[in-house]
Amino acid sequence: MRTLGGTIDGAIRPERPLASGTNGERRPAPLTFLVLLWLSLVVAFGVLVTLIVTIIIDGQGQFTGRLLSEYPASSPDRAGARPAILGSAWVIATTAIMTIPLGIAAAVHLEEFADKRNWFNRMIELNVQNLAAVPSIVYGLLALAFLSLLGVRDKNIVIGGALALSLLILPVIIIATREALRAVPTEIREGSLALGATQWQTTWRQTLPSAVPGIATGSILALSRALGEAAPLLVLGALVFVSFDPSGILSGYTTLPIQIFNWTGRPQEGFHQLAAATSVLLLGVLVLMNGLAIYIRNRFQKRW
Amino acid sequence: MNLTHSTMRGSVKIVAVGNLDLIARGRPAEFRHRGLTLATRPTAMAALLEVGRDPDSIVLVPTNLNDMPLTEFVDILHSLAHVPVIAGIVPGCSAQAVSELFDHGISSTVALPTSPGRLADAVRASRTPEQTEELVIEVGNLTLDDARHRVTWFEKEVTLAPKNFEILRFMLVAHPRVIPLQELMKHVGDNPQNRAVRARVAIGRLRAAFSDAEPRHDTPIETVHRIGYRLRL
Amino acid sequence: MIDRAGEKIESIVPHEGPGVRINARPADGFLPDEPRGILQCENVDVYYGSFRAVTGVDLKFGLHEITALIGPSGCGKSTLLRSLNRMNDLVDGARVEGRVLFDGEDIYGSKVDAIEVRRRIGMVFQKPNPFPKSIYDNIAYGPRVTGMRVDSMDDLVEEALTKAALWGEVKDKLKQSAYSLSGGQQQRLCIARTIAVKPDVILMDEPCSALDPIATVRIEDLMHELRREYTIVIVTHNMQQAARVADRTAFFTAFADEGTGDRTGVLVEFGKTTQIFEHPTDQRTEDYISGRFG
Repeated sequence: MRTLGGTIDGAIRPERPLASGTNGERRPAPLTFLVLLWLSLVVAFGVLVTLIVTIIIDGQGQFTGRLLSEYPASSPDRAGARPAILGSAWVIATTAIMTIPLGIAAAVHLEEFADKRNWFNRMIELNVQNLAAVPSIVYGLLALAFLSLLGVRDKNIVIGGALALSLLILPVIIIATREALRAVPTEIREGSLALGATQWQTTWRQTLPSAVPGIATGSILALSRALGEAAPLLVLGALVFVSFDPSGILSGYTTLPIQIFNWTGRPQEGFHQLAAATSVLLLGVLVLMNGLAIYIRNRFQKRW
Repeated sequence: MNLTHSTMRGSVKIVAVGNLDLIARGRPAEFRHRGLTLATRPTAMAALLEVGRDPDSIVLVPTNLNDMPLTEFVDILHSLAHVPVIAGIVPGCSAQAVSELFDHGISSTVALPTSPGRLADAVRASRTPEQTEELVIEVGNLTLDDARHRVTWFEKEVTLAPKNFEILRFMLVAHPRVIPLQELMKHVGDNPQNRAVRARVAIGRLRAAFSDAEPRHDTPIETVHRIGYRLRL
Repeated sequence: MIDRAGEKIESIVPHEGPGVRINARPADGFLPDEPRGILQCENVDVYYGSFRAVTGVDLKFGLHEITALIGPSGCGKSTLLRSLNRMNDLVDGARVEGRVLFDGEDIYGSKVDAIEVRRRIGMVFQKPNPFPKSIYDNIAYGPRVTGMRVDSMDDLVEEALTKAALWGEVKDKLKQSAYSLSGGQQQRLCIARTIAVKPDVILMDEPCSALDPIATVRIEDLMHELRREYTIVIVTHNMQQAARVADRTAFFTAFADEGTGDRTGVLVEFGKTTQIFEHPTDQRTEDYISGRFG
């Protein structure tokens, strides 16, 4: 028998009336903590808003159709970011094609097939976790070394950039896919196996389809990270002034972040405005991609 | 006392000395609702006559009784018929007087004028143990109060479903005999199927109820292997 | 004894033929003293790594009988159940010693395909686990992945759902998600799904523990029906359920290893359910079934 304010093994709960006229959450310590939390939020959000508003104000004059349709030029009034936009599209598409199947396959192996008690598998797992935290420029250097080994002389090609970015986001995709696979309940796998399905059938027909929304979300977020990267591409000697459209995976290219980097370094005020406008464009694309990821996550989220 | 008035059975007749207005607060119907029938008599002598007619009643006497000494009145009632007496305390009555009344054997007190609830409490308190004892089985630290459907174990209340209560009562009546499973099976309801299981499960539930109520003591139900169960108290 | 039981299996297993349904049980209530073991454990130990979860189990699961495994938590009854159709293979480090014979053949034999073992010995789990697909596809999944030759999948789905006493409730919404069903219906769907691959034995791991009492009664009725065609092994915590559904009951308990403190499950007593509940021969059984522990 439990009674109100009763004792359990001699411990007595001090009896306070429910309607004490006070609010436990409004005592000094919780209140201070709450105010600090709000302050951090205001600071972080304030900086972000200031930055975006400044860029928009700076770039508004240059935010015209010319930005999308023209090639870079020596005068800011005639310059546009067309090759950079196309270059980004090429590099990201190539990265996606190279990384997503590989990342999913690696994650499926680690999660569904590998013996998790094996030291080798555990080591790989640990390394994948760590690789996600390696600075992006390191991947640029890695790709550079790799291409040199292969004897590629002109390293500023779409496939080269995509290689660097693939290395960069592969661990992210592997981790995201593993999370998505792990979110599929064991009961589903067991149910399938108990019917006489093989591991392979179970993964292919049950686990992976159920994990697709999570995998898609993770992949899009990883790709949007790759889209904003400039450092590894600069290491590979990405061109800063391209006046042609990239035409294939062996073509030279530039990307939006590199174009922004280039224009920011110019002395003319007009180029700074162009850089701001291009930043707004890049930001817009990133927001769209993240929005898509969130949409997929919410729309297809399974409730088990 | 945490008993509720619903545990009282039938109606108790209260013979009160004095004027109804000075004794009772509330309408007679409210008292009847509590199982109390108030009969007021103007004098102590009239009250004694009434008790003579109906020895099962309880007498309520105010401490400012004026036609005979209070203690004498109480003594007469006790020597006549062991009638319980409740003293109605009126303002101005000394504590010493009340304690003297208890020495003379009154069973409880109540402040006058009294509400139906207070009087019902006083009546309950005035019931002598002899009147309820036969309804309570008490063995060792285990008490089963049949009328109130209450079981206590080391003074902790044990919550039991009616079926399990029946089985425990059966076991208590049989104590200290070992009760064979076959015999226990007759007390698990009318359904002829799976009686053995239901008897075993009932024993299991009893044990669970005992250890919920008082985890520090072993449950009093002992398995006698291949025969049945008994209470060890 | 074993040989004689083996002979009986041969004569009882229904032979292929149109509409031939041999009921191995002449009438409810008749139960041979010795189970005609279609599935049999011989001195089975189950290990997880170096931890021995169950040891020394000798058990026969009678053809077309329901056998209940009962015992306190952690006594290894679920572990043993999962080793009967090699579901434990999926747990890293799990291994079985001794022999588990299905129709006389060791399912842990070197040439035995675990996939086929699981098709022949199906399993229903504690929590209803329908696939995130339509009701129809849930049933059709097993026959499809196991490559069963099916004349009409529609007929097979109907047959399985009918046997699982679910057809009437779902026949108009076969294309709806299995998740639209109630918990009890989901569990019957899982049973139907298991039936669809035409197993010989159905293992049930506490199939009613996540269900309300009414759904539980329906599953229990269903088990009585299924017993005509299948051999059922059920793990349950509910002794009244064991008594209601099982022909035979096996009681397990765990003892602590003196050195390591690990708790290992052992089979204490096995017999007809009525005998286990009315005249248990072991004190521990009697203590358990009347609530002394667990």
